[in-house]
Amino acid sequence: MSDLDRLLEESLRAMTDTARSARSVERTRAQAEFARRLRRRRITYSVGASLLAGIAATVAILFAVGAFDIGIDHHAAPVRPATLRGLIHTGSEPMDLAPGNHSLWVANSGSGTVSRIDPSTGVVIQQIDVAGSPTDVEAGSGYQWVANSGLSQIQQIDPKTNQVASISVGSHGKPLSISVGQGAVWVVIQDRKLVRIGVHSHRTSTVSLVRHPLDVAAREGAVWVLDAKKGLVRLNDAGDQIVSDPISVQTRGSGDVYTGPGVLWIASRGSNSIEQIDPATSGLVSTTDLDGDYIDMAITPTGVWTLSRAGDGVAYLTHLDAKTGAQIEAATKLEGDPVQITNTNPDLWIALRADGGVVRIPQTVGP
Amino acid sequence: MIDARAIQMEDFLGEVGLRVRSNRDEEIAALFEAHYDGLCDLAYVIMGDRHLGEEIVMEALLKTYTGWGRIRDRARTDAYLRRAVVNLCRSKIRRKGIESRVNALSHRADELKPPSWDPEVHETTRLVWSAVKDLPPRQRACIGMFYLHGLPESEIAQALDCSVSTVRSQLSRARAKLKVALGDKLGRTEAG
Repeated sequence: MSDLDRLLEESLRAMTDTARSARSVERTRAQAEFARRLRRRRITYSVGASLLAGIAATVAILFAVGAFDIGIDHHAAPVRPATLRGLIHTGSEPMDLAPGNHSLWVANSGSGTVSRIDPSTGVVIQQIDVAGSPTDVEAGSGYQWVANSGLSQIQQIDPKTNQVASISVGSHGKPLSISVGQGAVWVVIQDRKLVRIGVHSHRTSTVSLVRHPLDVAAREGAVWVLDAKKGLVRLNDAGDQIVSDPISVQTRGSGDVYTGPGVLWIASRGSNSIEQIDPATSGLVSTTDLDGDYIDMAITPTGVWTLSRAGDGVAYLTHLDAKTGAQIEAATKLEGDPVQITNTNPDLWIALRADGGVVRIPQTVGP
Repeated sequence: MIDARAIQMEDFLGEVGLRVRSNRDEEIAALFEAHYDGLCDLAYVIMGDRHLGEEIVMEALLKTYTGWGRIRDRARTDAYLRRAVVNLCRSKIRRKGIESRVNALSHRADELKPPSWDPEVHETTRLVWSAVKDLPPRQRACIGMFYLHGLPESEIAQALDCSVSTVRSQLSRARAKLKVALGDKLGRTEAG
């Protein structure tokens, strides 16, 4: 042991001995203080545990009585408490839903499945494993068609057998949205391409006439493409000819085009209004302001239904007159995370992404 | 032989209405008896303040009570407590930015006076303490555990959550600094 070691040891010992002797006088007080704190901490923990148990029990009771059920209520309008029939679980992150073949089909992007629901009962009658990330689903030519961005495939589901056949569009990119009509499946690809797939031949070809497609709607006897640069473009059935002059519309880099009887509806994500256009005259029929930013819309026999989200995160369901675009009644406040809307007469169906399911709302919510 | 201090503690718990109702309470009471002084010494060396050190040890014991279920090896509770004390000291120093204040503390005369008071011993102790308190907290912790608790480097490393080589280098640096600070005193000891 060196001198330094010895010196250190002796000095530290002397110092702590001094401290100990001072401490011995106060030891009884220290023990009492420790016992008091120990008791207080035990009481704190007991009270905390009791409180937590109480909160857990309260939450369980509230769940049991349905207090947390996703529901709707009105703002500035009479409350219609019986309009919601509860959440139907389909799978993780439902991104799209569409009617077809007497069923409602839901694309669950997170779980790689498509749920088939009986719209009359609201029961999931089949979970179809399609793998990847299905993002869009449409009915057409007797089949359900799925855009699967995870697999870079378009998938064809036979509703008689629920069997899945795949058509690769991998060489073109990831499919985002599809529309089926005029003898083809029209696919908007992520890196701004439009691909046409023959319904029967499954032959794929790129539509080179549009270079910046945002959405496509092939219904009502026409193929309409919303192009970020050209506006609304009408294509022939083969997709190799522009039928009429493009209609100039405002887009914000993303948008939807829907075809209704004799009209087109255009909306851009992030915009707080939707536009109605008469394709015959290329004229603007109406512009309707929404409660918040546009999310999705559905065209039904009772009118146009839109989903939007306000700045405070609250989502709204708005019922518009299909002819004038006027708001028929006060918007309905929706809880949850609505991302898509469609209809199977007489009900509306809304996909709630965060909740992993869909809800049904009778259209009688209108006047 | 029955430990008189354990009886004293038990009486005490009774007096304040805290009956020893569970094994945990008994074990914590025993830990208090067995380790309180040693841990206070260590905290004292690191913090340079006896009362602050006692507060920290009490908090470490209470934390041990609440985390009792997480201690897997009860035979190593002393190491757990030591680590808790070192961590609390470090966090106290860091959180309140009191390092400079701690370092500036001058130990009170009555505390510096050893039981058998001798002017020469008193002077030496004062000088050593003055040199130790100028060390960084981590080196003070190493010095305290090495010289006061007589712990091997591996256990010091465990308490400080660092490698053995780090402990060695910390001790070596601390010794080098102390050697410089206590040069005259060491020379006199050697000469004497």
